Amino acid sequence: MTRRGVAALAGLALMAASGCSGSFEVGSSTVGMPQCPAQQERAPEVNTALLLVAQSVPTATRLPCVRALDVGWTFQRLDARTDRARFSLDSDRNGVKAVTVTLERECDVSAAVEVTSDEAGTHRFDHSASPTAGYRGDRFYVYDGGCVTYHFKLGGKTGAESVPAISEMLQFVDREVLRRYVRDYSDGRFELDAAPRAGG
Amino acid sequence: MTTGYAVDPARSIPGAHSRRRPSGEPPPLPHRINTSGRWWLAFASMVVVSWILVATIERTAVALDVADHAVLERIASIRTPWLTRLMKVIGLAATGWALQILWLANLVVLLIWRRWRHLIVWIGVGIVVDSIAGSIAGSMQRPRPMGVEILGDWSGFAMPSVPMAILAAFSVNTLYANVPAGHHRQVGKLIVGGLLAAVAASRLYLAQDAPSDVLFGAVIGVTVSLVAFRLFASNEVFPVSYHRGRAAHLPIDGIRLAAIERALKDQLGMIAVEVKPFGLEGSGGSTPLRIRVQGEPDCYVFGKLYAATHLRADRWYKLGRTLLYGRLEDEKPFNAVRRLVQYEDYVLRLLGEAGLPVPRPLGIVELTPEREYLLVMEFFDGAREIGEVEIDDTIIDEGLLVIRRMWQAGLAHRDIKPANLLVKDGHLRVIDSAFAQVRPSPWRQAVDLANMMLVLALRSDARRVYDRTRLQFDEKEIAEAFAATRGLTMPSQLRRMLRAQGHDVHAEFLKLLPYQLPPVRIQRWSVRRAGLTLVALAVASVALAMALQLLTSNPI
Repeated sequence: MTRRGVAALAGLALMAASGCSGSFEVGSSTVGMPQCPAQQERAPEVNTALLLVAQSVPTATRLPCVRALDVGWTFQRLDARTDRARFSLDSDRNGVKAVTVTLERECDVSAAVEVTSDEAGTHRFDHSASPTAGYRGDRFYVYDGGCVTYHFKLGGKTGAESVPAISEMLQFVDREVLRRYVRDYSDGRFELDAAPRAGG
Repeated sequence: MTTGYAVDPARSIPGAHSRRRPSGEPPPLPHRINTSGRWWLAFASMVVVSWILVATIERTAVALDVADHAVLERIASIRTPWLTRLMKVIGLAATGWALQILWLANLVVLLIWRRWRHLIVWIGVGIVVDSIAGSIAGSMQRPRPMGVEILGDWSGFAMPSVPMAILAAFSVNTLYANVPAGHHRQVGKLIVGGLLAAVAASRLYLAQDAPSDVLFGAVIGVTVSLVAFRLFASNEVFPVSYHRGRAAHLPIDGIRLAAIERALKDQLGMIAVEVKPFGLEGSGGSTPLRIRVQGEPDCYVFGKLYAATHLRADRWYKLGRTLLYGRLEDEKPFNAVRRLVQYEDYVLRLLGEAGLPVPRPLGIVELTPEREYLLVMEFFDGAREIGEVEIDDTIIDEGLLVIRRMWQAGLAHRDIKPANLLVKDGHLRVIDSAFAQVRPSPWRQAVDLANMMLVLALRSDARRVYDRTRLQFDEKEIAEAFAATRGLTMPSQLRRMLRAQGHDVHAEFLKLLPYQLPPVRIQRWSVRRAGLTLVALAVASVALAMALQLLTSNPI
């Protein structure tokens, strides 16, 4: 094969490789999205992005996920790493990164006020700023082994109107659901988590 | 004046017989990426097949997960506090800041030694590996190892291991861009192999990646780097060297030397006794060689080795001239090495037929089809550069007759400078007609005349040259020549030698003219020139932005 041919092939491969994820993101906006498993199923399918979120904070007993995206909302990329997982949702009305969801082991809620939680087994703390336009605020869900922050940055004239809709889109899934899934998937040959061993 | 080819061709060497290469026989210098490159390409193909299987057949994915888990569990069973500390230290080699240091160190070395080609390939490999590994990891979406405690830091999906892919690519890049081929590079390969194995062991021990993630990442990184360097910066054409010199010159040793000797024998029936680079400092567009050919007695021929690197040099040269001069030098570059060589061979024959004292072309030798050719011609043995000998009226007249004959034949040499005008046995010889042009612009022909007069005046004086010129050219032609010629239109060697004269020869000629014509404007804009200038500025800006990005960003 000529050098030009090899270069073309390499270019095509590169475009195909990078185009795969790119086109999915534009088309379906769900690639890499930690989607909530269907609650009514006994052994629901768990997507790998949600498993990655679980791995980022192994102590978290609950994990944030996206139930379904309303019209006008799109998923931004997932950034999962040691001790933290983060993803954002964009809105055609409220702008990019209208809400950013972060899972960590713990978070600072000293500036927030505790309110009645809408998620069972969690303590909720709210903190809101008062920008001239739109809405800025943080919501914290604190629970055993983890803390989830919803950071709202809503642009446009609707102010906090979108907050309830966002709350509907986002949900928590019990870690035990993921554990069961991994056990079933591997036919009991490995688990989602492992107990710390000596040397760690 | 001696007209036409100066001496008998070397073709008359007794016992010279050429041989046609049969179909299927490899050329003298085959273009290849070496055996190891093929192996790595095969590994990479297997990796791609594995990805397709894992992505499409769930049972395969489960089997791979189970196998990976079994290995990691065995490794985790030997964890001890001291081994964990050691593995964390080893694993630092695949962290963002370590890779950034490696890249910056390479950048400094490659800039100091001006290995632009290696630098471009280095950057290209980095971008391609980062994009491919990142994109595939995003598409495969494999979680980190499960069922084993992860002791090290990680980020994003696991397959392929992006840190391993980038470390492998950067390590191989470093080796191929900085270590000369041979024993040192072989040792370097062992070191790189050892480094990758140690980091892989660390990542498995710390359970940051599964075995298949590490393997696939390393294969992608090594393969892309290896193939890129062997295709775009091969040892044969772009050897790693710590000697200053023109990058356009190819090394004449080892495989290439043997290929030249074999090709000369097979294709021209010449038995080369000695092949040596000759006059490298005066040549940027090819690798000039002096070849001693067996005979009774032995004689010399001159060879100009052309490769893809010279073709690119020709393109850059012509682009530069278009940007500098505009429409006056507006010409299309060659698009193949074969055509470049064919053109010079053709021009030599054309100049010879026009009665110019140029070397007789003896044939074109193919080393690698479409990539490397040797143009063989007569060698002016014992000739000296015109700047080194006394100039008499014969030489002055012959020099001026060269211009007159080129004008008559509708040709321009375009590179009239001392290095290209030789004197042998009291007669002038003209060499290096690579830039010659058929039906040039009248401006370019006029420049040839002025440059010839300036060269001839270097070792004589302006008055004498002017008087001899008047015998062959009228006042108007000479006035036009000096209206066309100034600074940029002279070859740099001529400009340098004129400056060294201590007096302004150009001005002396102007004083001798009975009248002066207004200077010919050489800055002429065309749509093409304007477009090329804009594109050049845009490319420079993008390159600068990319360079800044690469300098400051974390590779992982």
